[in-house]
Amino acid sequence: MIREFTVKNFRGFQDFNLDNLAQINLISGKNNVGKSALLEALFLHFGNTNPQLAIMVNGFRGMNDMTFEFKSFSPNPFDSLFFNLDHTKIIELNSIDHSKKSKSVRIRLNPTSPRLKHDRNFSKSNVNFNLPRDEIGSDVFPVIDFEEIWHNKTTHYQLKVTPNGIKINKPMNPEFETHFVPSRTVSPKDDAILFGKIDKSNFSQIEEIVKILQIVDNRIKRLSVIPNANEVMIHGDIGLSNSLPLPLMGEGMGKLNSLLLRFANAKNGVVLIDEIENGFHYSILKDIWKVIFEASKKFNVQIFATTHSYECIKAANDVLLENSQYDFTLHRLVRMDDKILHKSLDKQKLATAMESNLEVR
Amino acid sequence: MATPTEIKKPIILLVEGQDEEIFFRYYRKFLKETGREEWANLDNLQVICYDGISKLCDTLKAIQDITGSELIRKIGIIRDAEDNADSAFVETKTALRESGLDVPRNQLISTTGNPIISVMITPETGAGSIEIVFLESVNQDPAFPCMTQYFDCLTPLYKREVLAEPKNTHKTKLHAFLSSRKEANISIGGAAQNGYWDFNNIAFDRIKTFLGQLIN
Repeated sequence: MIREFTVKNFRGFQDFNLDNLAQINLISGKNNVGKSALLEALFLHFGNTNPQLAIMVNGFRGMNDMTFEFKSFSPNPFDSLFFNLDHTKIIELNSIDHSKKSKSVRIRLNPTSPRLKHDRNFSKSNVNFNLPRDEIGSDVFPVIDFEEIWHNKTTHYQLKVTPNGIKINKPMNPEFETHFVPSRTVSPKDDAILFGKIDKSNFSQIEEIVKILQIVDNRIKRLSVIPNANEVMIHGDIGLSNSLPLPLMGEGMGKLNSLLLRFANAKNGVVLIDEIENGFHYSILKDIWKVIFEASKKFNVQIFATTHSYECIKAANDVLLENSQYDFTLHRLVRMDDKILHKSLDKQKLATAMESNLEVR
Repeated sequence: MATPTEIKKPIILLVEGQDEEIFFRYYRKFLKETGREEWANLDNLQVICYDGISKLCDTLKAIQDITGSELIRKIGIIRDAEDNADSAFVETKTALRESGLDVPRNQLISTTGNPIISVMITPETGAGSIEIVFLESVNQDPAFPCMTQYFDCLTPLYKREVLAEPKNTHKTKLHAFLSSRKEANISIGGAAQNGYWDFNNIAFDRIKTFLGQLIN
C-alpha cells in the first residue's frame, strides 16, 4: 500500500507530489485539473511490467483506434502521455509504500522512434492495437521503454509499434493486480473474464456479489456467464423466463458488478475508479460506499477514485461518521499558475467541511 | 441544500455564528457605501461562520484545504470574550497553533507569515460578548431605559433565586431591547438588515479598526 506518489512529466503534471495516501483515496477537483490523468499515472506505475498500458490509458478516454503515420513530423500517439506533448522528457512515477520502500518507474520514448530519426521509409499505416503480443523485433518504431527500479533492481520492459501491430518484450505478471474502472462503460467481456476467475476459486464470493447487487435491484437472484452473439457476457436472473444480460439491467447494476469483480480479483492490489458516482442514484451512494469500504478491508485493496459529486463525497462522509475505523483521505486537486497542487482532507477535516457546508469538490 | 461555501476571496473573516455573518454583510455594505478609499479592498473580504469556539480549530484546519483555500492570504477571527477576554485569546491562539497557523502576540496585532492572522476578542477585556458593542451603540436610544427598567425589576428575582439568571445577560438585554422594534424575533443580523443600528456610532469603532487592518 503506497503512502506517497510523485508524478513528473506525465500529461498535465510537470512535478506533482501526492502524500497522505490512505487505503481509500477519493480525488476531487474541477474539470481538466488532472484527476483521470492521476489515475492513469498510478495505473502505469503499478502495471509497469505491461507497457501496453501506455496505449490502454488512451483507450480509457475513448481513443481506441489510433492512427499512426510511420513518417517524420507525423503525430506520435504517445506524445499525449508527456507533459506539454514533449516526448523528449522522461516520465517519472515514483511511490513510497507503508514500509518506506520506494519504487521508481521511468517511461521514455526511445530515441529511435521515427519522429526523431526522420525515417521516411515507412508509409501511413493503421495500427491495430489489439494484436497479440509478440517478441520484440529489430526494425520497428517507436519504442516505449519502461524502466523499473524496485528492491534495488532495475528492469526494462519495452513496447514497439510496427506497421503490423504492437510488440512487447519481457511481459511479466505483476506482484499484485491493478484494475482500472474507466468513467466510460466497462467491456462486458472483461467483466465476464473476471467473473470466471472468481467462479473457479471461490463460489461463495459470487453469492456475496449477488447479495450486494440487490442494493441496485433486489430482484436479482443469480449470476451466470452465457455466450451472447460473439462474446460471453454476465447474465442476471431476476425471475423472468430467461436471464438478462447485465448491461441491459441498467448502468448502476453493471457498474457495481464491475467494481465488485475488480475488488475480488485485486487482492492485496489496487483498484482505480474514474468518476465513481457514475451510474448510481444518489439515494444508494451511501450503501455503495459501505460496500467499497468493506471490500477494501476484506481484499486488502487500495482504492483511488475520482468524483465530481458532492453527494458522493457526502455519502462517503456519512459512512465514515458511522464507522471511523476506515482509512480514508479526500485529495482535492487544484491548478494554480499552470501548476497542479493538491490539498488533503482527512476524516476530521472532511467531517467539519461537510457539517459547515464548505465546498470540497 | 444550500450551495456549499467555496473560498472566493483572499481575505477571510471568521465569525462565531450565522447571525454575526449576516451583521457583517450589512456592516460591510455600509462601509463600502461610504465610498472612502480605505474600504475599497472590502471586495476581497469573505465572511465565514465557524459555529462557536468548540469548532474554531476544526474550521481553521478545514478552510486551509477546501475549494479555493489556495487563494487565502489573510484570516481574521472575531470571538466573544465570554468569561474572560484573556482566556478567550489564549484559547484562540491554541486553536491557531493546533491548526498549523501563525499565532499573533496580541489582539489586533497581525502576524507576518502567509496567511496573515489577526484576532479580535469582544469586549477587549473582561467578560462579555459581541452584544456589548450593540448595547453600547443604542444606550442613548429612547427605548434603552425601558429595557434597563425591565432588568432592574428582574434583578431581585435572580438574587432570591426565584428565577435562574440568564447565562449571557448581554444577549438577553439586547434581545429585550430589540423587542421594542417593529420586526419581532430578530437578533443582531436581522437588526442590521432592518437598519436598526447606527453604524456611525463610536461603539463600532473597534470593529471598524479591526476590519481596516484586516483588508489593508
